[in-house]
Amino acid sequence: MNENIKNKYECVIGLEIHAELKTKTKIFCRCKTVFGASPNTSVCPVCMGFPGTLPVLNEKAVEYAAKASIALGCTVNKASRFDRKNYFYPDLPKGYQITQFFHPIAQNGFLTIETENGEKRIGITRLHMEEDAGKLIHENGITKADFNRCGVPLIEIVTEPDMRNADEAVQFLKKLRLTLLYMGVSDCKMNEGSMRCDVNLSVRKKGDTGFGEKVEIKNINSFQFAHKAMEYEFARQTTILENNGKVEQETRRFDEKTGTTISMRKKEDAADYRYFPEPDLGVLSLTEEYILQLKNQIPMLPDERKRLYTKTYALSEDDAETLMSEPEFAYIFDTAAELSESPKTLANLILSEGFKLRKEKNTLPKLAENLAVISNLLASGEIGSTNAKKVLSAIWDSTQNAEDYAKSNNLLQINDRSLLLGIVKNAIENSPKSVSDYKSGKQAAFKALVGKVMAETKGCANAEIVTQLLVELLK
Amino acid sequence: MKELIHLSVKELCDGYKNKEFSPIEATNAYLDEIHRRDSEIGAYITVNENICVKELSANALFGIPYSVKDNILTKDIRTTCASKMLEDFVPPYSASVCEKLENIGAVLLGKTNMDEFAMGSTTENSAIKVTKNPVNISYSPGGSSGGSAASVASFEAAFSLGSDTGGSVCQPASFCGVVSIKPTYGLVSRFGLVGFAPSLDQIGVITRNVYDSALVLSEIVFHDRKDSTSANVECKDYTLGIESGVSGLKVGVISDFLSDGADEEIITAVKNAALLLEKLGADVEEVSMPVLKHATASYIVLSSSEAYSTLSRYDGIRYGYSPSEEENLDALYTLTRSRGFGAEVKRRLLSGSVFLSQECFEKYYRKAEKARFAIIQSYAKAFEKYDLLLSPVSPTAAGKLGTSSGNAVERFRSDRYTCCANLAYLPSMSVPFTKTESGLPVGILMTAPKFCEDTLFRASFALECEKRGEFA
Repeated sequence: MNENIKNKYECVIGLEIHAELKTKTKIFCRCKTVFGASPNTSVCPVCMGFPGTLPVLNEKAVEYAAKASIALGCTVNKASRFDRKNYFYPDLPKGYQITQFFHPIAQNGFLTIETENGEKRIGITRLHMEEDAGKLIHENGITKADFNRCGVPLIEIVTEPDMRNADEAVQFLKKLRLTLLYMGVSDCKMNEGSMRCDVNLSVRKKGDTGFGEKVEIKNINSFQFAHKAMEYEFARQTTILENNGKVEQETRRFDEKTGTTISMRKKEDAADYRYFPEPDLGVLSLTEEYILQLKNQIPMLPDERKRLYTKTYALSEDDAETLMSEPEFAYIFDTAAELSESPKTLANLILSEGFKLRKEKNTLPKLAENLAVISNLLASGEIGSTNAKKVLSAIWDSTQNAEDYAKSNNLLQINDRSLLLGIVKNAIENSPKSVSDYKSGKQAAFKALVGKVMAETKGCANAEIVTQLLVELLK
Repeated sequence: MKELIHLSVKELCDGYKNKEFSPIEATNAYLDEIHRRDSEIGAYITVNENICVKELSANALFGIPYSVKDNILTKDIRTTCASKMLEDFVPPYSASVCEKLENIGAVLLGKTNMDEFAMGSTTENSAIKVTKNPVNISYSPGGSSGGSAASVASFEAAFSLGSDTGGSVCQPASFCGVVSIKPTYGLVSRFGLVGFAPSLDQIGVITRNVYDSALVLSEIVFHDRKDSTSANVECKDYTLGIESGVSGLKVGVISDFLSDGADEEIITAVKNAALLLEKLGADVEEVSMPVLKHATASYIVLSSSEAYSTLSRYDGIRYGYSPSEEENLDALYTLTRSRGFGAEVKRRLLSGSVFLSQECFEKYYRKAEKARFAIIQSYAKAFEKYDLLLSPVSPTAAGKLGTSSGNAVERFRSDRYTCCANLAYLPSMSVPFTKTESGLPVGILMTAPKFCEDTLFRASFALECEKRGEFA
């Protein structure tokens, strides 16, 4: 789109995120929360909305919601209530969803994101608890209802309209996801639906203080699609305004195939949910002590962790971010770093090889101590980098000590100068062509000689020493 | 010797203990009476064909035959709520109170008729059958627990469990000349009571005398984790102290209810009951609670709103009535709900949806909430001075079948005395006191502070002793 037009207008974005809490059981009944199970195998009369059934609040869900609220800098309300949101749809057995409309569990929080202009605070208006609906599957003209997901606990997070472009919004989503992952309250997998995002986007002329008409965008299934949807919508609305048109307040669907947003329903057709307080549940009362107790259980959050990695371990920002991207792996790194004499070496090892192995083997390293051991061997020159990678791969899923493994498989580095001298001499004697090539200026020949020594020592020779020796002997 | 079916619950318990007769004999006696009388009375929708009397045990209520209103779920026994919507619904689980009664060996005789989904005051809104008042079969037994009250009054059950949202236990009991108690909100578990208006619903007990009422209530009061509104109470024996009389009890007669259009005979009955309590040693005086005149309006709005939401689950998808035509989703909802629900239910659901709508929410729902709060305050203030409040149960005695007022609001107004206790979460009890000239029973309504059921039992017991013989 025309840069001039783009610069004339300002994009205003607010987000509504739903995250499934990873409690063992549902929010109002004892059914297990499952993913991918056979349809209707984790249901009961309560979550199926049978007559005469009543909701009983899952305390763990409250704990997770409160923890998430604290991690997001929110005020946790000592008193909050549940309300009924009434509408008819086959995936909603009771004909209403139990949610928190009037008095949510938390409000007034924030998350800081990195933008090109430095740090920016994105306000969080509120966080509340609610139950998930079931799933409808459309097949051959028949619609089937699976109620396994019905009653799974959700938290809904609503942001202030503080984001000004798609990048900022995606930054926020990434930060939010990471925060919730570190809190251990949700798996945040957009592809599995444990994290969902709706976008509210409006456009106004730069300098205006009022807001333009807000459009809601649904059906966003990944951060990339979120980005695409927002860029498209900004362009769409700006074009309308440029042509002196009016943007209609409506709900639109993001269409993955075309990368566009398509109108779903207009404002007039928006449902009246007839909210009123849920009579089957009392006031949710949280004491000061309880909230304090939870505050003390908050683990190191992303910002603090990044500082730790960049300052204490002297990692670059990018490296720190990569290392932090998976909490379970980061915790293993933490344990290993404490035992390692060179956390920087450890970090590099994980960044260069660890993540690759993580993906290949689809498991996390069994013993954090082994990572420390390998990093120590590397740092002290007792093992070369190639062999270090071999050892890492070999002991990844095992409880065997890494050093023992390296020793028994002759992977430790040979640093004995006199021993190496003999091998280097041999290599020179047995490669007259390489020697003459090198002497006539071909650098590649030098590499070949090094290679011969390496082959002879099964990769264990200290490459630096070998290089030095070769240079000396070939003078 | 009295016939087995004429024995009270207490007398049956004593008889079993003394081996004068067995639970099987008593059960058979009741079943015989049901087969003899119920084709005329119509109290039962379903008679339990699979009765098995358990081995002898020392539990209170062991072997006592009882009936249950058909909106209280009983595992594997059809539970219809007197509606087409649940005509063939067989629940896979029982209400907590029914589970308890089953465990202690009480004998479930069957499920009783009611106004559909508990909405009504004459049981004529039942989609299944008509129930007649055993005292005079041309008259209605009241409602919505009409079948429950009738089954007890016609000796077709030793006691019955009903449900009360705005008077549905106290009023039919009064109309049929039997005793009832609607407990404090939260005292009796609501798990398995088909919801109508959850902040008002309570399960109540109907018996032929006050002592039985205390006996039965004692067994169904327990904290239930499946019901989040269940009070954290310890089990209590409500028969203890029941004979302590009313000496020194401070009784307030709600004067506003004696001058708002109730029948003369009803007003006289309440005044006489007040005099009698005074004679028995209570301090009785009139008290004015003008805020209570808003009770009906508040009740209409709140109960209809909650009902609209609570009955949204009946959509023909997972259970209950479903139309045989397969069309689109809209058609499914429309056909299921227009055919499954009767006129009164639809009227209330539609009203509820209006009261909760964006345009009306503040003006109706929020206002009704405020009125409710004011009513609660009014009772709290009254109970600073009084231990008990006295009022009529209903502005009239039972009405002739088929003569219910055509005006919906007028029909609600007949609940104006009983619905106050539901709005204020308080316990109330109706006890038979006299009869109208035409022979219809008139009861007295007593309301006590929260969890003061024993005061109700004391006062009712005292009145009953004085009036013994009038209700043979």
